Amino acid sequence: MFANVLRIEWTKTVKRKLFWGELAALALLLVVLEVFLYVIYQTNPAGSEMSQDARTALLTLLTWPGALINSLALGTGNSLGGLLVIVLVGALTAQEYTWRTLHLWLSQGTSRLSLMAAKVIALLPALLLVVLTPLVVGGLITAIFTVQLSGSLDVSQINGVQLGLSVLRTAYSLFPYATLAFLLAVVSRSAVTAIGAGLAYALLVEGVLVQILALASGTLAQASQYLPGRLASGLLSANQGAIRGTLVIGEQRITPQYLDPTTAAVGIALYTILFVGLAIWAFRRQDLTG
Amino acid sequence: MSTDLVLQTEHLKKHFGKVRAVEEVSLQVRRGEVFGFLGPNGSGKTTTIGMVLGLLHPTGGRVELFGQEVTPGRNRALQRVGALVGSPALVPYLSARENLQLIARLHPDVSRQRIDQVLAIVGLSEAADRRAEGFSTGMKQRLGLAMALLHQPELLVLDEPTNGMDPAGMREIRTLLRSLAEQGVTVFLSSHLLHEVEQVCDRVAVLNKGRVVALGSVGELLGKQQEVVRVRVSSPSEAARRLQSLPGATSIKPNGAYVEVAGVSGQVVVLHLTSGGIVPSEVSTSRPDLESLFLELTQETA
Repeated sequence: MFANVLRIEWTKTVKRKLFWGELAALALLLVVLEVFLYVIYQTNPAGSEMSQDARTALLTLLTWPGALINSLALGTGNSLGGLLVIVLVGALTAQEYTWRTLHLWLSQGTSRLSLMAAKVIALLPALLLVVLTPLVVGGLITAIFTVQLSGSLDVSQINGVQLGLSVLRTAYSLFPYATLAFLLAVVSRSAVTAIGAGLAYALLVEGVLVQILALASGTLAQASQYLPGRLASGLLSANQGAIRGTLVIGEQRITPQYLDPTTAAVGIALYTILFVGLAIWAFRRQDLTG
Repeated sequence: MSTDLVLQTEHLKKHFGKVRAVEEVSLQVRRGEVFGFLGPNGSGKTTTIGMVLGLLHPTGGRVELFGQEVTPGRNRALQRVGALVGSPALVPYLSARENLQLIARLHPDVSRQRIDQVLAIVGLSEAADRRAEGFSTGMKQRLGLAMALLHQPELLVLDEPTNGMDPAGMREIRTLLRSLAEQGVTVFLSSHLLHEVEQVCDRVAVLNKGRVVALGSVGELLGKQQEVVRVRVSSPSEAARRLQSLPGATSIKPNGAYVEVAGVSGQVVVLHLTSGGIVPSEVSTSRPDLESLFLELTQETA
């Protein structure tokens, strides 16, 4: 029975235009970005105004193996991937209240727990596709660039196991955002509220919290590391082994400090369990009217 | 609980804060009958059905389907139920056939042929591959009914199933419900259309302000209603005074050029009036119907 409920949930997702539209938007954006970087690289040959360091960095972003891993960056929890997942999960979950299809599944004898569990599990392949789309599209386009710029494509430079782990880590970084949107959709029963509040958190609230906590000292300052976006960064640091970039506050330059990937993974698991647990708790108590 | 009882509610209550939507609903629906559930808007019909289908947590009382208690956390018995409540619940971006295929996954015994069969029963074969979002209200209602019938349920719970349908469609549904009942399917039908209920249902319950105010077969309930004799006279007030002395007359109401009398036959009324020198120019009797009973019951308790 549960497998059948799971199949229903997955069918509803893959038949949804929104899902494929998001993946297409992700792919298109990546193509535009890669082509833009390529044009910049080609219009600034060696000896031009662009420094050699900048050219080397650009070349890394445009050619394998670095470009392949970098393609994943667009699908992470703390980038466009997280935002797309909030929109997708918010719409998929909350609109079932409006359409009253939740009522339909329940009135056919499906238990509330298995319905919620199926909804969460059916999200996993969707999250994986959000990660794989930029990898495949970015991988293909940068493979062409690699041949053009380096003369050949050396596939032996790719560690298949590490690449697979990077994909899984990236998909896992989406969990807190997906489950937050799921919780908001169940509690509010409104797609607009769930998506609006989810995006507000991802785009605004978390950033503001990080800034405020960075001004504090001691334990409070450390707390920002445990926010979902920072945990995602900590986890994804394992994809490339190092994090580049710094936070600038006033005149101080602060190098971001993230948790190690294992601790970050545990933190993400706790957020996921908390959000899914609260959603199931709320759903089991809900009266489904209208 | 007897195995002959398909649905039973005992002292069912549902309060939403201070609003007492359902106050006391105790019903027994027997196997193979078409049971009508009547009540004005806001009387608690849909709330009661919501509790029967495990969608609402009762404030008090209990629901049993096929002898098993049903709650929002315990609803396995609902696998034997088909329901259409309010506007049909459809996945709008899927076709009629795909919507049925989704439901079929919850019922492994349902074959592809059965999907074609129910589409034909509700008259949607030609629109089977069109998206549900483009359907008219009547077509959506038909698809909702097909979804309720798909797994050949033992109990059908229908809330306003002919909503949005044309008269021919409504008649088709009435015929379908009777034919299902003959095949042993129990039907629990909530409707505003009193003539529909009168034509289709074996027994009815009338709900008002969350309480059952009448329960029984249509014949029993109508039998309690008295025939009304309507006489047209030149002076209705004088005729009404004359009729006050008529033994057995339970109600005498002047109404325009007419006087309406209940509790006695037309013959007795005419005889009584003519013996007093009042000759009626027109006499008619009205048979009691569910509509008058419904209005009487719901206005009495209003």
